[in-house]
Amino acid sequence: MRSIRPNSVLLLLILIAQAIGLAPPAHAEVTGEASVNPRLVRIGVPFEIILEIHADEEISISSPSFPEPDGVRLSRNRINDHTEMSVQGGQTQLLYTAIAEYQPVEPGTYEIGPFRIRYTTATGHNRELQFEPVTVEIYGDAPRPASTIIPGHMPWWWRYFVIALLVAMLAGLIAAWIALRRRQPRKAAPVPFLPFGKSPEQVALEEIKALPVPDAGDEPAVKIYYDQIDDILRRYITIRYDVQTQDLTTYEIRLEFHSKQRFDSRVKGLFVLLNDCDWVKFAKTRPDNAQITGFMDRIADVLMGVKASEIEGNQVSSNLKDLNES
Amino acid sequence: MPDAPQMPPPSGKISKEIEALSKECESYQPVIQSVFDEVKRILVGQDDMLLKLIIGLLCRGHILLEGVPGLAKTLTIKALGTAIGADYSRVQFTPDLLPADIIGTRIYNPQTTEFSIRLGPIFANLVLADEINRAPAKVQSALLEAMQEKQVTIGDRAFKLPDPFLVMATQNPIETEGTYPLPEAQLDRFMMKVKVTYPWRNEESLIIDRITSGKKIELKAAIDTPKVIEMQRVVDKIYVDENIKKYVLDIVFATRNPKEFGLDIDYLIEYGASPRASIYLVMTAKAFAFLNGRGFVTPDDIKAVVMDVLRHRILLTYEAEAEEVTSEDLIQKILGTIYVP
Repeated sequence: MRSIRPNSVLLLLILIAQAIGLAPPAHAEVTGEASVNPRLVRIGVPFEIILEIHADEEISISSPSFPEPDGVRLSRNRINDHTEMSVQGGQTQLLYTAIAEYQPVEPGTYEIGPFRIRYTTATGHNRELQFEPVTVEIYGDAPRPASTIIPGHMPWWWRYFVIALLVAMLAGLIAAWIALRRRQPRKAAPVPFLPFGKSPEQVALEEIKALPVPDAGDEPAVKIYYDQIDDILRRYITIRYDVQTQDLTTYEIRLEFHSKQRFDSRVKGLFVLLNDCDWVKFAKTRPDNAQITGFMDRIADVLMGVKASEIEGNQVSSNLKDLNES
Repeated sequence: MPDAPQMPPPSGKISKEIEALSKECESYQPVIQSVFDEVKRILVGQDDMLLKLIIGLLCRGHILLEGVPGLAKTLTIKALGTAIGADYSRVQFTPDLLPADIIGTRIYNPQTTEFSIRLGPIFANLVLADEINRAPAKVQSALLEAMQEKQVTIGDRAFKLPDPFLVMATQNPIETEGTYPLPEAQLDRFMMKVKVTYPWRNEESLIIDRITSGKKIELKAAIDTPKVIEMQRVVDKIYVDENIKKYVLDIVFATRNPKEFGLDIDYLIEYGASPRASIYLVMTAKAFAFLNGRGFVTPDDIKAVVMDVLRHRILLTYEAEAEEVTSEDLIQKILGTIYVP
């Protein structure tokens, strides 16, 4: 629709057209429409009822009657004379507007109207125009019902924002749950058990003596035997010297002793035993019967030697102390 | 020579087979030492890289080197090539490289109206694939396929690659823009991924002296390629006990099912190491034992090579990356848990 400002030339043309018989119908055509803005309103915030009057000729409008139902109060009203002029289908249309400002007083839904206005046509006829009532919803200080929040009052992106927020919260909960599940305390490495009143040397020797001595001809049994002795010696080192041996090679255990400056001649004897075990375990070395029995004696010599030196030096590892005290 | 643990002889009798094998390995010690000495005439530091290259050579495997530019990668392979009397070639990988630029192509001769075959730079004993991640996947695939098959097909003819054959590929860890990272399946083909680090301060001081003195160091061949092949055959014979195999399998399986080994790291590992990891762990440990003049493998040999063999075979999860956990951290954790035989 194209709007133009009214001007005197156009009005003159219309009058000429009427004079020569090309004029529109004898009585003016006037229509109207009522609207409310906003439809949903909070107490204390004013709202407007707008009556729009379309006429195909100039009319004169008298003050309309605006009803004042309970719950709302009429503040003021005003009329705008043909504020706008347009041409529709070759016909000139003039627009008049009557606006009333209301103050909401009580919450509720109110139907205001119908509205009536009186107008006088250019030919001097007095007529009346009726408008349909309008509905306005007034709410108090309490939060609005969710259904009334949604339409028309929030920006377009709010739905996506709420969904993203919910997804983020859900992801956060899942992440926290996973993190908690994985932060469970790890199992501590088992500390070898030391019976009360026995030295680590005695325990190690008793364990070794309890092993069935294999025949040299039974090669798999010999290998298992040396494997078990190796395990016992490593456990013994853990208790006596407080060196964790399970994940270390013989060479790495030796480095541990060097770093602790505890690699003396007696400890060296222990490493000769571990070295012999390694040769059986990894290098197909198969000792004869005399070597197997001799190995037992060498273990006893080394362990008793270590024990004697430990008693002399009163060097018992903290690990052993703890175990004995408990 | 590697600074590796020495294993004193046992109190009892050594197995004859192992004794003979160890003696054979010991007999090659001076040979290996001469190669080391020759390369070290020009190369300062980078002993670990040189050691891993020799291990790769002895195991017929290929090495992926990761390190910033200027760490003597090219110099090392060139010097090693000269020291073992082998051919050497270098290919700079670029985005416009084509497979034919590496493996070779057929060229039409208008005078004879026939096609002749021109072999690519891959036909050398030692090939340096510089910045392999700068070339597109088709070129990488062409190289890696040749590495695996040890032969190349051009037109309708198959050509065997020379023996010994070692590819040393490099990639730069800092410039990743515009690169084509090697897929895991391709990375798996490399026997070891070695991280090349900066030289020590005293080493760098020596490098300055050598380079700025203007003296040209001419290297000569300490051995020849048949000797390398001979050593490869000895390495194959090195004894690996069941205990060692079990240890290797425990390590590799711990990367796949950490929970079975009491490790709480399964959420950090997307995929564990492939069976190639077990194979290469044993092969490289054999070569390490050989270099130490031993005819059998010990857990120390496994520990010496495990990091280089496994680091590119463990695929980390997003959580591991978020927690800045590296595959090296995980390998260390696994080694700290698995019982050493």
